Amino acid sequence: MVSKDIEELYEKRLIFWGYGFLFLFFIVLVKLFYLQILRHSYFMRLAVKRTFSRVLIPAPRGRIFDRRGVLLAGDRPTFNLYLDPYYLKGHEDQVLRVLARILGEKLSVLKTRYLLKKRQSYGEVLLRQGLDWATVARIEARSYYLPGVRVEARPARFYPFGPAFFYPLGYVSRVSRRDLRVLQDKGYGPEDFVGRRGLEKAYEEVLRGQKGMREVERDAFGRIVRIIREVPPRPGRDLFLTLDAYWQREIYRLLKGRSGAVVVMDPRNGEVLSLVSAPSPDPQEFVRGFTHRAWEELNRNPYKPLLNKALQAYQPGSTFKPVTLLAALEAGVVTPAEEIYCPGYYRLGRQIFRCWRRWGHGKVSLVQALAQSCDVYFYTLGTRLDIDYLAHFARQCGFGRLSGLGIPGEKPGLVPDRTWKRRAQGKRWQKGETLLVAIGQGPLEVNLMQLVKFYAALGNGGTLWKPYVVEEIADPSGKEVQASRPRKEGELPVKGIHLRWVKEGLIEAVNGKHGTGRAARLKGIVVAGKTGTAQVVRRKKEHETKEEIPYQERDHAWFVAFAPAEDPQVVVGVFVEHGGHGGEVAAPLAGKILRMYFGEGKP
Amino acid sequence: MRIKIWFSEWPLFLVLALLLVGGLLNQWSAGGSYYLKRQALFMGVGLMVFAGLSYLDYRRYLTTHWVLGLYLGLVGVLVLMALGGKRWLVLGPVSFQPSEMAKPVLIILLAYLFSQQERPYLSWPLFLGANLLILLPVVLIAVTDLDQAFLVLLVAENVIFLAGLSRRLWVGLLVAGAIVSFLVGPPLWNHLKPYQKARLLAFLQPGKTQKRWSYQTRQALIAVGSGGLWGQGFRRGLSSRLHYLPAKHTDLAFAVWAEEWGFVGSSIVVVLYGLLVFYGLRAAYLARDLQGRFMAFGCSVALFWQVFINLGGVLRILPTASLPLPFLSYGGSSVVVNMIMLGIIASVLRRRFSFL
Ligand SMILES: [Zn+2]
Repeated sequence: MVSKDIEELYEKRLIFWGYGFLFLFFIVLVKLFYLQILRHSYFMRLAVKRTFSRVLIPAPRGRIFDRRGVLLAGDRPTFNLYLDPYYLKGHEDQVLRVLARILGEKLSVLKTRYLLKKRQSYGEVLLRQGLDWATVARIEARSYYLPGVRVEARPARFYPFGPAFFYPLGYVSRVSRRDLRVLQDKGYGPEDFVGRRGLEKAYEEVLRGQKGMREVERDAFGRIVRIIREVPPRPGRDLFLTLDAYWQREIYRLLKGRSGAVVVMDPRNGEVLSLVSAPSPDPQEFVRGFTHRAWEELNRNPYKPLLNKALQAYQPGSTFKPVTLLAALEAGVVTPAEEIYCPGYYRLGRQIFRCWRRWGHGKVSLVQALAQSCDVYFYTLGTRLDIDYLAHFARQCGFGRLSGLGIPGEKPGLVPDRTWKRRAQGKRWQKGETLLVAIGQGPLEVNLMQLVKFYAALGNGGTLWKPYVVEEIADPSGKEVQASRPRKEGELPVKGIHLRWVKEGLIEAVNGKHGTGRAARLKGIVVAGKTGTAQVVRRKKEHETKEEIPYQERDHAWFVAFAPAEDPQVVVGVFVEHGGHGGEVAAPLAGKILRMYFGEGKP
Repeated sequence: MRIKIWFSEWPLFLVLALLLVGGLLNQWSAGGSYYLKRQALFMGVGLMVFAGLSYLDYRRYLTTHWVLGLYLGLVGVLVLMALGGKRWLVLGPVSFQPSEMAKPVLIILLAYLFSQQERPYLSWPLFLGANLLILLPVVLIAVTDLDQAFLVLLVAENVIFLAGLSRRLWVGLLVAGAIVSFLVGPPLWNHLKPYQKARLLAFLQPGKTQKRWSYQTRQALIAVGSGGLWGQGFRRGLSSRLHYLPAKHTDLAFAVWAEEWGFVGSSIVVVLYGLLVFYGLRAAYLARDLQGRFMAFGCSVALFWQVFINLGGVLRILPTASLPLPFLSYGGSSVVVNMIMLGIIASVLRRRFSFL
C-alpha cells in the first residue's frame, strides 16, 4: 500500500492542478463574455458588413429626340472589362500579362490600376470600358487562359449626330473623384455619368431617373446567395426638342471651315429650329474620355470648338442699328423724312468718327441709312440721344440679359451706360462713346440668340417671344407628357408705325440696289435683314486685302434676317467669327439657309 | 454495492451525454447530414468502447507485457506512418489517425512506470528514461502532425510533473531549456512550414497580418462575437451558413456552436467540459492506487488541453492549432480516443472502493 505521506503529496498536487485548470477555464469564460456580450455589436456589424450589401441598379438615362422623333442622344451598349479577384487569386500576373498584350497597355500600368481599383470596389473590378469589337473577340477567344475575366455590355451615352449636336445637347461624362464629393449626396457613384453642358446639364434631373437598389446576401466567395429586397430603377424621362436634326446637320456642314454660329427660330412663337456652333467637338469623345493629346489639341484650336458661339457675347456691329433707330424714333429726335448728309466722317469736337464708306453716302434718309448702313446717320442720332435712355431701351429689347433659352453657359452680354462706366472704369461717360454704341460698337456686347429674338420681334410686330428648345418632357411609358408652351416675354416699347419704317429699311438692305445684304436675296420671297461687321482691331491701313490681315485680327461678320418680310415664318441669325465683312460672308450663308427653308421644305 | 456505484457516477454520464448531443447538433449545422450520420456512428462505437473499458479492471491488465506490447505496437505503427509521410492509416473502409492513440498509450505506460516506485520525486534515471520513451513517439508524430505531437508531449510531461521533480531537477531543466531554446529556436523557426509561421505571427501581431494570415481567426472571432447572448439560432448562423468559416466542422466547430447558441450555449459547453475534467481529477484524487491516479490524471489532462488549445485558438487566447475539440469536432479517431480516455477515468472511478 502507498504510504500516507505520499498519498497526501499526490492529493495536494492534484488540487493544485485542479485550481490551475479552473483558472484557465475561467479565462475562457471571461473571453467568451468579452466577445459575445461586450463586443457583440462590433462583431455583429462586421458580420453584417461582410454578409449583406446593397447593389445599385443604374437607371437608363432619358433619351433626346428632335421635333420629328429622330434620336439625338440615347444609350447603347458598350463593352466593359471586369476582373473577379476571387478567381484571379494566385495567377494575377499571368492573366494581366495576357490582357496587357491584348489591350496594348503596359503590364505595370495595368497592374497598378487593377490593384488600385480592387481596393475600391466590392467584388468585381472594372478594368476598362468601351472596348471595341475586335478586342472583345480577342479576349473571348483566350477566355480559357483568362479565368475570372468577363466582358459585359453596359449602356453608355451615344450621340448619333456627333459634333453637329454638341451644342445645344452638351454631353455626359463619368463622375470624377473630385465631383463625387459633391455629387455623392445626390446618389451618384463612381461609375455614373453626369450631364456636363447644354441640355444634358440643364435637364440632368429630368434625364437621369432614379437608381434602383438590390439588397443581397453574399457568401464567402462573393456569390450572391439571396436577394433580400429589390427596388426597380425609374428610368429618366425623354426630351423632345423643337430642333430639326436634318437642318442642324446641314447648317453645321455649311459652316465647315469656319468658326461661327447659326440660330434659326420661328418668330411666331420662339421655337428654336436650329442652334449650331461650329466647329464643335465630338460628344462621343467626352463619354469615352479624352487622351491628353486630343484634349490639348482641342484647347489650342484657333476656332475655339469649346465655346458655344451662339451664346457668347460679341460686339454686334451694324446689326444693332435698328435698336438705335427705334430709340431715336420713340424719343422723337428723327423722322423718316429727315435727310442727313454723310461726307464719310462725323466731327465731334476734336474727334473724327468715320463712316465705313470713306467717301460718304451723301444725303441719306431713314430707309437708305439702314439699307446702306451709313454710320454717319447713326452717329448723328447718337448725338441726339442720351446713353442712359439708349441703354434702357436696348434692355427692353432683350439685350444685356439672358435670352431665356435655358441652356447653361450663356453670356448675357453688356449694354453700357453711365453707371456701368463709373463702376467698371471709374470714369465719366464721354459723348463720343454714345456715338460708338449707336453703331453697335464700343463696349457693347450681345449674343446671337438675343439678336435673333429681337429681329423676330421686329418682324412679328413687336412681340418678344421667349426662345425654347424643349418641346416636351415625356415619361418613357408615354403616359405622362409635359409640354412647353410658347411664352411671351414682352413687347418692344415702340409704336407700330416705327416698326414699319424699320422693316422698310431692312427690306431695302437685302433687296435694294445699294443694300449691304443683297447676298441673302430670295426669288419670290421678300427677305428683310441687316448685316453687321464688328471690328476686332481698329486698323489704320485701309488698303490691306483680307488675306493680309492675321486671322485673329479679322472682323466678326453678322447677318440677321427674317422672311417673308410681311408675315415672317423664320428668323435666321448668322455669326462668323473673324469672318470679315458681314455682307460678304454672313449674308450668303443666311441666304442658303433661307433657300433651304423655303425650297426644300420647312421643318 | 454495484447499484450504488452506478448511481454515484451518473453526473459523469449526464455530462458526457449532453456533450454528445451537442456534438451531433453541431455537426448537423456545420457539416450537414453526411457528417451527422458518420459522427453518430463514431459516437456509437466510442460509447461501446467506453462501456467496455469502464467495466474492465485495469489492474489486472497493467502488466509489463501488456504495457510494453501497447507501446511497441504504437511506435511500430508510428514509424510506418512517419516513413510514409501520412497521418491516416487506412484499413479497408475504416481510416484512423494513429497519433491520437499516442495519448492513452503513453498515459498507461507512464502510469505503469511511475506506480512502480513510491517516492515524493522521480529518480534521475526514471526521469530520463520516461522522457526518452515519450520523445520517441512524439518525434515520430511531429513528422506529419506538429500540433498533435505538441499536445502529446504536453500531456506526457504533465504526468511527469504529477510524479514530481526535485528542486535540483527543476533548476537544471530551466537552465537546459534556456540553452536549448536559444540554440534550437532559430533553426526550428526556419524549419516551420509557412502556414505554421503565419499562425504564430498572426497571434503575436494580429493587427499587422490581419488581412492575409489570420483570416481564419478573424472569421472565427466574428462568428463567436456575432452570436451575442442567445445566438443566431440553430442552423441559422451567418458565418457557418455562408461558408465564411473554413474547417467549420473540425477545427472551428466551436465557432459554429458559439454563433448559433450564443453566450448561453457556449458557456454551458465550457462548463460541461470543466465538469468532465473535474470528474477526471476527482477520480485521480479518490483512486486507491498510484496506477489509477496517474491514468485518471493523464486522461483528464489530455481532455483539458485539447479543449483549452482548441477554444484558445478560436477565441484568440492562444495561436491557432489544428486540433479537434472533443466530441464537438467531426472525426472518428478523436471521438473514439476521447471515449477511451473517459472509459479509463470511469474505470478508475469504479474501482476506488475495491481492493485487490
Ligand atoms: Zn455714310
